[in-house]
Amino acid sequence: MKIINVLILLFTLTPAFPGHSVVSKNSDIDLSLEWDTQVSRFLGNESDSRGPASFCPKTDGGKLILDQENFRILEFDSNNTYSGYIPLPSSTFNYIGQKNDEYIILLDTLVSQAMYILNFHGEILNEIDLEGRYIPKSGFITGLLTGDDGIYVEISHRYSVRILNRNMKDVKRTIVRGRIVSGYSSVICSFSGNSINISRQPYNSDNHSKTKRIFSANTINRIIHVQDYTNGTVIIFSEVEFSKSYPYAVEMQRNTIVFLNRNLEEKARFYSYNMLGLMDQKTEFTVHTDGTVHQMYYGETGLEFYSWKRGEI
Amino acid sequence: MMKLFFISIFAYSLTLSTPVKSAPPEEPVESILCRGYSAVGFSYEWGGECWCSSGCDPDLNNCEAGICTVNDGATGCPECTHSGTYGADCSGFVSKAWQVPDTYATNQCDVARYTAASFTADHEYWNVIPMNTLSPGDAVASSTHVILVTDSGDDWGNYEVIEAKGCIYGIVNQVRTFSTSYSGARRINLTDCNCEEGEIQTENCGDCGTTERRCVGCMWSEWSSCEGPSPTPEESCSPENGAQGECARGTVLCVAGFRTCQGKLPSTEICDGLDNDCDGIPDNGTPVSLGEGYKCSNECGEGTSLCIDGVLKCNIPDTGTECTVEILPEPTSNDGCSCNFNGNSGRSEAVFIIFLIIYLIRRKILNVQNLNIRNL
Repeated sequence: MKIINVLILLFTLTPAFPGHSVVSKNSDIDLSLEWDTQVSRFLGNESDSRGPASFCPKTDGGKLILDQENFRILEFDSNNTYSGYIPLPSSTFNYIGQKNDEYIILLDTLVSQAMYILNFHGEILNEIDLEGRYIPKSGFITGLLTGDDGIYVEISHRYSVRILNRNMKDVKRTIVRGRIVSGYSSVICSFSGNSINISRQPYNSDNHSKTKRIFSANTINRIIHVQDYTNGTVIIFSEVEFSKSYPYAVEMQRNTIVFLNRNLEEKARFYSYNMLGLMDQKTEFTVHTDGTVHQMYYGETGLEFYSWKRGEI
Repeated sequence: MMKLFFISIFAYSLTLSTPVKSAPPEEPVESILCRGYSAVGFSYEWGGECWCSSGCDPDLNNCEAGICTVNDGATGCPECTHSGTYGADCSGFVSKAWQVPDTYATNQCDVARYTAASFTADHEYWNVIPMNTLSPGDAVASSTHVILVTDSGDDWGNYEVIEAKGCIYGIVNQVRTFSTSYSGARRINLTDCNCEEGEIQTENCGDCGTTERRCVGCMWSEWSSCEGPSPTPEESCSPENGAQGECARGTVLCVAGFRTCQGKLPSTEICDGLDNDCDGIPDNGTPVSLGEGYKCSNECGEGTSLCIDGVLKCNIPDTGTECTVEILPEPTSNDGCSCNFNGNSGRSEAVFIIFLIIYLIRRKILNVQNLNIRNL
């Protein structure tokens, strides 16, 4: 009888989602850069508006910001202190990545339709045409990804194409279903209503035994980002509720950041209320290997950066 | 000041450029998409709305695409100049693709059109729709930009679109996302019956895939994902020049409709004579992964396990090679194992067989997980 009582007590004390914590507010701002003086944007008039299209974390904890309208990459150290800029040959780049704080990878998917490899002095080391095998239209690229075995681009969130090997040399292209992550694995995601299906498997394996469903309180509008960190995977999605009547205004919206472990079990959840604006933005979130999620947000007065870390829960 | 003057004149001309109104033609969505695709590659021209089509393709052989140049010190139009006859801005492009306010040919320039902001409110030629109901042929608009949607969205909620993006880009076809600051719009007079209920169309895609669409409710669904079967019997291939060890062995797969060479993936280096971790050297793992350094014994005496020529052997110091023979692990504690030379263990055969069975079972299970039993 005593054992039964203890079991009942344990059962009632167990939370519905063990280890699931929620912080329902934006993090403190990490970095702010004033529009038109520190960082540039273009406000369209019968055309698209543009701000810094992309950013990426550096291995040392700093970040690179693609300030393409100013023909430069801004470099910040781990304390968010400006440490210089790297000149760019054009203003049409729309993705940035880096490897080992040694190589910078840039994509220009719409104009030159090429990938550029630069060193941190801005010297172009290699230029590769994107369109070709597995990439019929470079405009369909939806991600620049660094994998265990090289550099990939993602096409329409359907598959990843390997462009460079781990030594940053051109390779005979190969293709992996889904978005590549760490451990020679890829994830495949889709959403419907208020849930997301996510599966993780070794490259091109038919074994989808690791499949999970993630739920949200509201209707999911889009999946924004999926990326691994050392201890798991982070998935970020947008929840939106529209009014049912004209003009179908937004009634609520937020970005949801979910930390999963290697078995895709949810470990933590945060919300960001900094939503995508009218300026075209290719990279909204990135994840550092230490598990810190960074958001680049087009604020009213400037470009703002926020971060969330699983370890802070 | 001069710039403001020109902007004012342009805005004024845009609002006045809608005097002739005749209902857009009754047509299927495909006709809108066809006009849209035929503009890709033409230049951005602020206030422009014309390009040359050859069916659903742009006619860049008989018409020049035009060139938009941003003025010195500026980042985009209207501080720009355009050369050439053809080009369009975002709203000129969507107006022409939608055939509003009138049915002008795509190569007719300087004709009536709407501004981007016009598409954010209900109109006699279109209706505002919720952003979560977008389908091909719809537009998404803000007060400053309008975009033509060409699909129903991918698995992540991004859309394939065509847009006159800006001076340095021209008219482009890309996959992008929309903020909720945009609103959706659907043109009227779309024929709502394009196919026979239940009809299925199939097409080849990639180089080993097929895709299909079904007629549902009198309308074609989206084409399904391009997929196909991998070759049978299995085809071997070389995945990459320079790939080493087991990773140099590949199999041809059909992935997302394309043939690709999938090499074996690096795994933990174990003592098997193979280069499992693909670093060019077989059996160069850690002592733990190789199973080395554990106590073992045989008829020659006691020694330690060592990976030799792909086989884990019991190495007895100061004895000949005849004593260094293959060993089978026999887990006895958490911190290692003592190993017996088979056939002369000093234990009964029954005990040995039991351990052998346990070992084989565990090895089979652990191989699936790419782990090494000797780690346990």
